[in-house]
Amino acid sequence: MEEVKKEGLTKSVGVSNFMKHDLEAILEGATVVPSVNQVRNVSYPARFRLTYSIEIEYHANILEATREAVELCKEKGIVIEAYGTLSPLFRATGGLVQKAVADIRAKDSKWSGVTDGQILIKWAHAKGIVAVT
Amino acid sequence: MSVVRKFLLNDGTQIPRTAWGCGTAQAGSDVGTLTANAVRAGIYHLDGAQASPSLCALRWRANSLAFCIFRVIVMRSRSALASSPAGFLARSSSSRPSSTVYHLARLFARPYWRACRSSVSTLSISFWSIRRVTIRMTRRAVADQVLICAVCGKRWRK
Repeated sequence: MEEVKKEGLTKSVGVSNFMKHDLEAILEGATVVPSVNQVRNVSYPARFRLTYSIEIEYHANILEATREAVELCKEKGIVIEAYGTLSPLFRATGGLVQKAVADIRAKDSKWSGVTDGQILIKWAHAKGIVAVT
Repeated sequence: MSVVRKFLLNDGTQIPRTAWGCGTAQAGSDVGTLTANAVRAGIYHLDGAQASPSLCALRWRANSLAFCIFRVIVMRSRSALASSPAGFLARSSSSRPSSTVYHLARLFARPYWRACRSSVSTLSISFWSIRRVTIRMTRRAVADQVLICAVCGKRWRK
């Protein structure tokens, strides 16, 4: 991908589902630091989760490996891009995320006119995460 | 001017901070129609990483989708492209070795780039199948107005 970038075929190179050790391995010999690490944004039950991907949690139950990877990304200026941002709304209807969104809506009336999806995307943006719906 | 706000990447380019994920669309709807609507709405950061089960749905809508994307590409000016997002994001999972990714990029990105000039970076697509569909169709659309779906081989004449 570095050669592709050198040839001018792309402006940026990103990686996906990279954990801390993956990033460290690639950064050892990389001439181009990845611009984006696309990871899963998840909060639905564990049976749907991919064991090899790092996951961004909506709530305080953040996996240690995930936190390390996210911190390394921030250190290197790698933007986190989260796929499945809206997945909890239709894959785990009535789950933890929707309850959290309902709490947010109950606490502040300014959120009363927006959808659950808009709140989740806003949350991702506030965290500096590119939100993939 | 795009209404989609962007994040600045470490290489100086910008990426829209909201992307359309085809995996969300496949949950209960026609991914082709929804993706075309997303492009019409101004979202040009597309992600199809979870779209493999819905490609059969996508290919039947590929004609309108490719036309829609083609229109977007044509309409975008070079000055707008100067601040466009990453050209593509390679999924570097173990199932796709880097050499394969590289060769695919050489095969498909170059003609696409030539055909559409600098507009390849208008679309940030990380799923190779959709990328192939988009690239092949756009290239053909420029060359002889015949669209060929790289997934199913179906041909359309505009």
